[in-house]
Amino acid sequence: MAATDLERFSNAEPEPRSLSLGGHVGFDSLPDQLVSKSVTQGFSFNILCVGETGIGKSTLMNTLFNTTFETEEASHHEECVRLRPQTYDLQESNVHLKLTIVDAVGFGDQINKDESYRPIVDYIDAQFENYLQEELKIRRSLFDYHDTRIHVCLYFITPTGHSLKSLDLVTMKKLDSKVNIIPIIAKADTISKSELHKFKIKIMGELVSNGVQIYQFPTDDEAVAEINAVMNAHLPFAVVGSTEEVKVGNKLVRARQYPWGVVQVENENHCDFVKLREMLIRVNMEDLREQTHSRHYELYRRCKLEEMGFQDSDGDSQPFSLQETYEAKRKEFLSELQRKEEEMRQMFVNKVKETELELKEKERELHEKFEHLKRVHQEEKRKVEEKRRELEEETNAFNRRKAAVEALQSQALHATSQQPLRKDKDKKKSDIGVHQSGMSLSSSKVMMTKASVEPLNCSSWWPAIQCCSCLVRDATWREGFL
Amino acid sequence: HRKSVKKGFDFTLMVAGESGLGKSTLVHSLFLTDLYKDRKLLSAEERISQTVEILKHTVDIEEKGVKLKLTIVDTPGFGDAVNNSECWKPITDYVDQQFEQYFRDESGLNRKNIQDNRVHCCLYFISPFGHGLRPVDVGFMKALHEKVNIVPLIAKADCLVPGEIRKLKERIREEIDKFGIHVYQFPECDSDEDEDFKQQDRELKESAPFAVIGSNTVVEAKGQRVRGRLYPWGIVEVENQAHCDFVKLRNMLIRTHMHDLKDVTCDVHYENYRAHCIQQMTSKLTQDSRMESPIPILPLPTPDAETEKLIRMKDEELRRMQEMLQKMKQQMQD
Repeated sequence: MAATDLERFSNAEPEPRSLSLGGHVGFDSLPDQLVSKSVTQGFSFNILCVGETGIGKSTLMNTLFNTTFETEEASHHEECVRLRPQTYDLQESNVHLKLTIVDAVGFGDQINKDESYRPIVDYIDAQFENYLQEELKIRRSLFDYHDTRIHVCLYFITPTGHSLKSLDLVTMKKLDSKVNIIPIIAKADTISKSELHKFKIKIMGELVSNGVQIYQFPTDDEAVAEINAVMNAHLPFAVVGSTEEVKVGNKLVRARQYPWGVVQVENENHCDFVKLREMLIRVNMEDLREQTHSRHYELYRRCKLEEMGFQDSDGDSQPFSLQETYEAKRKEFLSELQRKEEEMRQMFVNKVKETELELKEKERELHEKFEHLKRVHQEEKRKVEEKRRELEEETNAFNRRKAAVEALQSQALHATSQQPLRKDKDKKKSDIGVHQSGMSLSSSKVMMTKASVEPLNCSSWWPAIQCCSCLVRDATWREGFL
Repeated sequence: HRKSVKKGFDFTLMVAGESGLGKSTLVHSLFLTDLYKDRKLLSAEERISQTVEILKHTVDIEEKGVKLKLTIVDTPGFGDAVNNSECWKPITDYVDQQFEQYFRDESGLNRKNIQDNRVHCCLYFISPFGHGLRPVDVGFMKALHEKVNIVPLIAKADCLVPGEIRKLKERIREEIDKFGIHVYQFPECDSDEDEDFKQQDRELKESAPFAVIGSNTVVEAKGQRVRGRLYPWGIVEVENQAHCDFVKLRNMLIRTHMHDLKDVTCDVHYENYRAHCIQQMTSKLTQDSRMESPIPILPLPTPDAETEKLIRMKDEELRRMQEMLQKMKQQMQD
C-alpha cells in the first residue's frame, strides 16, 4: 500500500487544475502582507563605485540620495587600490534602507595598473564567501543576516571623447561575471551633444566587441518593459553631479554655474542623471538584488563547491545529497589524517632507532677507550713496580755493603782497642748524632785504626778530624785505606 | 630685423599628456592649422600595452611676411597602457637625441646651416578630472624638467567652475613646489617697462598653470562667429578671457615669449646637456688613461673639478671669439 502511494506521488505529477472561486476568500492580500513584512524588515542595498580619483563618485552619490555622505577627498598618491565600505541608514516615509557604499580608493592613480583590479575582485569574492559561510552554517539566520554582497557596480568612465581607456576595459572584463555593471560617463558637462553621441556608440561598440556583459535592464516584466527598453538604448548614462543649488528662473535647483551657462542636474536635456536615478533606485533596485543573488552568487557558489570537490551528480546520474557527499568527504579526510599520523609515528620510531644505534656505538667506543686506558695504566704501574724493586735491590746491596764494612771496622777496632780514642769516639758518636752518615764515621774510625796513631790531645772531634785530614795527605795511609 | 624676417623663425613645440585631453584640438586652435587630418585613433584594447611613439609634424606658416617653421612633436600613447612604468623614456631619449645632434653639428666643420631641432617648449596637459598632479604627471615632469622648458596646462577646463579652477591651480602649484619640479618661469620684466606691460606680466604669472579649452569648430554667439564649443546650456568661447586662459597662453607662447623660450633652451638646457656630455667624455678619457696604470687609484675629486673649470674657461673664450667672428662677418657682409 505504501509503495503504490509513493509511486503515485513520485512518478505522476499531474497538472494543477484551475478552479473558480465561489466567493471572496481573501488571499488577494498576500502581496500586501509581503510588502508590509518587507517594509518592517527594511532593505539593504550595496553599491560599488569604481572610477579614477576625482571623477565625481562621492558627489554623484550625494546627488543621487540627496544627502551628504561624509567622505574626505582622496589623494592621488596611494600605493595600491583599497576598498572603503561605509554603511548608512536611510529612511524615507517609513521605509528603511541600509545603504552600503564601497569606494575603490586609489583606482587608476598608480603608474603600473596591472594589479588594480585585484583588490576589487577579492572584495566581491569575500562578500560572497561570507554569505556562503552563513548559508552552510548549521544554525543560520539568513533573514537577519546583513547582506553585504555588492548589488551593483557603477563604473565611472572618464569623458575623453574618444573611447574607453585600456584600464577600463581590463577591469570591466574581470568584473562582469561577478557583479552587475552599469557604466556611467562622469563629468559629462565637458562633452558637447554631438561628441557625446559618438562617444556612447564607441563605448558600447567596444564593450560588445570585447565580450563585456554589462547589466541590461529587464524587459520581461510588462510593467517596466517599455521604459527599460528605452533606457537600455541610452546606456551608458552621461551624468553630472552637484550638491550646490543655483537659482534658475525663480527656483533653486541643483546645478553647476559656469561663466557661460548653468548646467542643471535634473534637466533631461543637459544630462542623463534623472534617467540613472529612475533606473537605479525607483524601478530596478529589486531586480538588481535578484540578479546578484540568482546569477552572480550562484555562479560563485558553484565554482567554490566544485573546487571543494562536491558534485551535483555522480557517474550513474543519481543526484547526490549534500549530506552523503559531505560524509564521504569527511571519511576521506579522516583516513587521510590517520595515514599522516601513521607516517609520522613511523618516522618517529625510525628516528628513535637510529639514535639508539648511535648511542650504542658511542658507548662501545667509550668502553674501548676505558679498557685501553686501564691497560696503559697497568703497564705504567708495572714499570713503576719494577723500578721500585730495582731500587730496593740497590738499597739492599748497599746496606749489605755497609754492614760488611761495619763488620770490618768493628774487627779493626777490637784489634787496636784505644781507650781515649774510644772516649773521643763516644764523644764523637754522641756529638755527631743521627744525621751523620755511617760512612763518615766509619771512615774516621778506619783512619784511626790504620794510621800510626799518637794519642791526640784534642778534646773534641773537630780538631781530631782536622788532624786526621793532615794525616790523610800521607800517601802510605791512603794505600792502606784503599 | 630685416634679416631675421628673411631667414624666418623656427620653433619646436612638444605636446604631451594622456590621450583624450584635447592636445590636438589645442594645437589646432593655437596655430589655426589642421595638422592631424588623417589621424587614426587606437581602440581601448589595442592600447592596453601601448608604447609611446614620437611623431613630428612640420608646418611652414606665414603671417604678414614673417615666416615661421613650426614643428610639433606629438607623443601618442603616453600614459595609455595599463602599465605605464617609464613611459616617458622614449620622450627623454628623443630630446637627448636632438641635443646630441646639435652638439655634433656645432662641433663640426661646416656650421653654416645648422638645423635646430631641439625642443624649445613642452606643453604638458594635466587632467582636470582629478584633484591635482598624478604620479605619472610627476614622473614625467621630473624626468624632463632639466632638459626642456615645461609649461603645464590644465586641459579641458570647461568641466570646472571658476572656484574649482582656482583651487586646482593652487593645488598644482603647491604640488609642483613639493615635488621640486622646475617648470618654465616667465622672466622678470625690466623696471623701465610701462605699467601696462608689468600688469600683464603679473597676471600672466598668477594664472599659471593655464586652464585652457580648445576648439576647432566655429559657432555663432551673440551674432558673431567665434571659435567655441556649443552646449545645451551655453556656448564656451575659446578666446574669451573670462572663460579660459587660452588667449594668455597664445600670447605668451607666440607673441611675447617665443624668443625667451628659445634662449632658455639654448642657454640653460643645452648647456646643461653639453656640460654633462663633456664631463662624461673627460671622465671616460681619464678612466682609460688610468686603466693603463696598474695601481688602482680612486678618482680624486679636486683634479677633476680643476680640469672642469679649465674646460669651462676655455669654452667661454671660444664662445667669445666665435661671437666676435660672427660680428665681423656680419659687418663685412653689410
